[in-house]
Amino acid sequence: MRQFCVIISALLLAGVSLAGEINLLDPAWGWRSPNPGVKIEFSAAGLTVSGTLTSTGIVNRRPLNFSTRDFDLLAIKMKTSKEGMGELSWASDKTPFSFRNSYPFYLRRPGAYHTYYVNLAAYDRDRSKITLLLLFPFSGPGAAEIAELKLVKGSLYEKIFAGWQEFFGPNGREQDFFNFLVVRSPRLFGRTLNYYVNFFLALFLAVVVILRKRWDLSRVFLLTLLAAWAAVELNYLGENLAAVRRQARFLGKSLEEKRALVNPGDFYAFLKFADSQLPAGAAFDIRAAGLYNGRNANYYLYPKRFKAGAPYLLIYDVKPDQKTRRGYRPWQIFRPGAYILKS
Amino acid sequence: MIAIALLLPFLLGLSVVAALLGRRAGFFSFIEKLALAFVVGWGAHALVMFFLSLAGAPLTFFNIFLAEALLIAGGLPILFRNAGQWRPGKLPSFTFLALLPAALIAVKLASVVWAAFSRPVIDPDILGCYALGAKMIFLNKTILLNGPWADKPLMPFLWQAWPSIGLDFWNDTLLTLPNPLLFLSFLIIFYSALARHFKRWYALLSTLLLATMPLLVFHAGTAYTDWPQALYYSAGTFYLFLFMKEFRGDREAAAGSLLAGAALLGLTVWAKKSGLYYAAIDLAALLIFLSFAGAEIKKTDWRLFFQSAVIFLAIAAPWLLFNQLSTFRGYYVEVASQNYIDLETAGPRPQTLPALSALYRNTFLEDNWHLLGLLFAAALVLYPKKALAGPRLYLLLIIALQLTALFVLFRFTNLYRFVHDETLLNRLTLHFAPVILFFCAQILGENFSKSCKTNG
Repeated sequence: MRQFCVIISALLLAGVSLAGEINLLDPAWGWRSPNPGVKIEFSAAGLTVSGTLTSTGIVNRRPLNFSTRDFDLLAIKMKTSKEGMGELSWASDKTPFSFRNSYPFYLRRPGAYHTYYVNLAAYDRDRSKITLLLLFPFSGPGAAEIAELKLVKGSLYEKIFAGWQEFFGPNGREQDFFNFLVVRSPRLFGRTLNYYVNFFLALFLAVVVILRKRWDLSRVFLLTLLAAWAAVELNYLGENLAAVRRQARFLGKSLEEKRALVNPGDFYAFLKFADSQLPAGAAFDIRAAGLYNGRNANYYLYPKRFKAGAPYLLIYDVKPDQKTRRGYRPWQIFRPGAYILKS
Repeated sequence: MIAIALLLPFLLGLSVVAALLGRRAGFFSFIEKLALAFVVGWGAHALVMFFLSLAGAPLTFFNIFLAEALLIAGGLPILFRNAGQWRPGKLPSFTFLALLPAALIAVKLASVVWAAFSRPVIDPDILGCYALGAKMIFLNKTILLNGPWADKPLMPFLWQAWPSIGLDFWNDTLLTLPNPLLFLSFLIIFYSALARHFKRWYALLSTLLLATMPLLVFHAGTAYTDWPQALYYSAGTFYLFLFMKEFRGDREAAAGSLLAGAALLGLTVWAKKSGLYYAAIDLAALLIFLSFAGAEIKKTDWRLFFQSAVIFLAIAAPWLLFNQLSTFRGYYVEVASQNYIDLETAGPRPQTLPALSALYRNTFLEDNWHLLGLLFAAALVLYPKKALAGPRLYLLLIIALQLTALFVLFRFTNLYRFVHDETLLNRLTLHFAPVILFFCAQILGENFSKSCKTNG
C-alpha cells in the first residue's frame, strides 16, 4: 500500500497524467478565425496562426462537448513572435462567450516554445459542457506556432503551475481587456484574491462576535483587517507600477507622437492625411477596422463632422461592401487599404 | 500658462470661500481652507464660464480672466477683513511613524499625476463625449451649440476645455489638469474633517485608506465625470455630517460646516446628472435631523438654514433651469417609463438574483475598494450602538438610502442591462464609497480616541 502511494505521488509530482487527453490540434475540430485576415495552417509541426490585423482569435467549429470533470486543464504549447498577452474564452451549453468566461495570460519570451495551462475546471463552476474555445494566441498582429493544444486531466504539478500563472497573470495587474472601469483582483483557482481575503476576514469576524462576551478580540480583528488591506494594496501598487511601465513609452514624445501611439497602427497618420485632404467644414463618413476607430475619427477630425452617408467616405483596413460603395468613387489614397471615397 | 490656468480658479475659490465662511473660516484649518478653496474654486470657475457664454461673451482666455479677476477683486476685501482667520497655524508635529502613511499617500498622488498627464485620452467614452464636447467648446468658444453633452451637466466639459483655452491650442493631455490637485484637496478635506475630532495619527491613517482605494485613484487620473461627482458629493456629505455633529456643541463651527456643505452639494448637481438625487438624499437626512432637533433650534439658526438653502439653490438652479429640468425627465424615462416597457420585449427582464450578485461582486470580489465592504460590516457588527447613535445614524441613513437606490435602479429599471457588463454599478458606488469610509472612521475613531485619552 505504501509503495502504491509513493508511486502515485511520484507520478503526480512528475506531472504524469493518469487520465486520457483530447488532442485539439486536429483539423477535424474545424479551427477557423472569424477574422478573414488571419491565416491558419496545419503542418506536421502543429498549427500556425498569423495575422496583420488586431483580432487574431481562432475558434473551433465542431463542438467539443467535454466536461471539466473529465478534463480540467487546457495545455497550450506554443511559440509566439511577440510578448504581451494571450487569451482564452469559452462557451458552454449553458453560457455563451462572455468576459467572465475569459482567461488572459502573459506570453513568455518570444521565439521559444512555452507551455501555458488554463485551469478550466476552476472557472466552470456550474459544470456545464464546454462546447467552443476561442483562443487568441497573442494580441495585435503577429504569429504563433502551436505545437500542442490538448485537454488533460491535470496533475498536481500542472495545477500548481496553472495557479502560479493565473495569480501572476494579467487579471488584477493589467487593465481589464473588456471593461477598464473595474479594478480587478488577481485570480487563484478561478476565484479572486479578494474573495479569499474577505472570506477569511468574515470568518474571523464571526469568531470575534461569537466570543465577544469572553474575549474582546475586536482590536486584533481590526489590526488583521488593516494588515490585509496593506497586503492587497501592495498587490495593487504592483499594478500601478505596471501601468507606469506601460506608459513609459510616452515619455519624451511630442503631442502628435503621443496621439499616434494611442491609436492602432497608422490610424492617426491616416486621420491627419484625411484632415489635410478634406475641405474645411466637410462632413465625412467612415468604415474602419477596430471597435472605436469611428469614434476616434469623429473626435480627431472635428470640426469636420461625422455624418452617416456624408459626401466623403473614409475607408481604413476594411473591405466595404457594394451597398456601402454605391454612389462613391475613389478620391484620395493614403496607402493600400486606407483611402477616401467621394460621392 | 498652465500655472495660471491652475491658479486662477484657486484664487477665485479663495474669494468665494472667504465670502461664504466669513469669520467662521477660523473653524477650518489652514490647509483645509486652501483645499476647500481649490475644490470650490474649480466649481465656481465652471459657473463663470457658463454664465459668460450664456451672456453671449466668447469663451476666450481674456474674457474668462477678466470676469474672474473682477470676482476675485470683489472677494479679496472680505478675505483681508478676516485675515486673522486665514493665518496659517503652527505646523503640526508628526512623529516619524506618521511619515510612512504620508509617503504612501505621496506615491498614490504621483500615480494620479502620471495617469492624468502621461498620454492623451484614449478611453472611448471620453473621446466620444467629454473630450469631443470640450474640443467643441474650445473651437467654437461657446456652450450654445448642439454638443455631445445632451442633458449632461456642463462642468466637466468646461473644465476640460479650460486648459486649452488658456494655451490657445487643443491639448488633450491636459484634459485632467486639476485632477491631481483636486485629489490632494479631497484627501486634505477628509483628513481635516476627521482631525477636528480625532487624533492626527488616526486621521492620517484613515486618509491613507482613502488614498489607496483603487477605483478612486484610477478615476482621479481619468477625464470621466465620476471623479468630480465623488469629490463634490462626498466632501459635501462630510461637512453636512460635521454640521450635525457640531450642532449641539459649537453652533458657529456647525454653521461654517453647513455653508461649506451646501456649496459643495450645489456643485454636485453640476458634476453629473445623479448629483441631483444625491443632494436630495442628503437633504432628506438633514430634514430628519432637524425635525428631531426641533426644540434646540434657535431663532438665529433659521437665518443660517435660509442662507444655506439659498447657496444651494443659487448654485444648482441655473443648471437645472438652463437644462429645462430635463434631468428630472431623464430620471423618469430611465427609471419608470418607456425603456422599461421596451425592455420586457427586447432584452432580459430584470431579476433580483443577478442584481444582488452584482452588488456582492462589486463589494467583495473585485478590487475596486480593497476591503471597504468588510470594514463597513465590521464597524456595524462590532460597534452597533456607536453606529446607531448621534449624528452617525444620519450618515448611516444616507449610506442606506444610497445602497437602496442602487438596488432599486439595478433591479427594477432599465439600468439592469449594466449588471452584466459591470460598467455602471461600480462607478455609482464610487460616488459615495468615501462616505462609507468616513462613516467607518467615525465609529472606530470613537473607540480609538477614547483609548488614547486613557493612555494619555
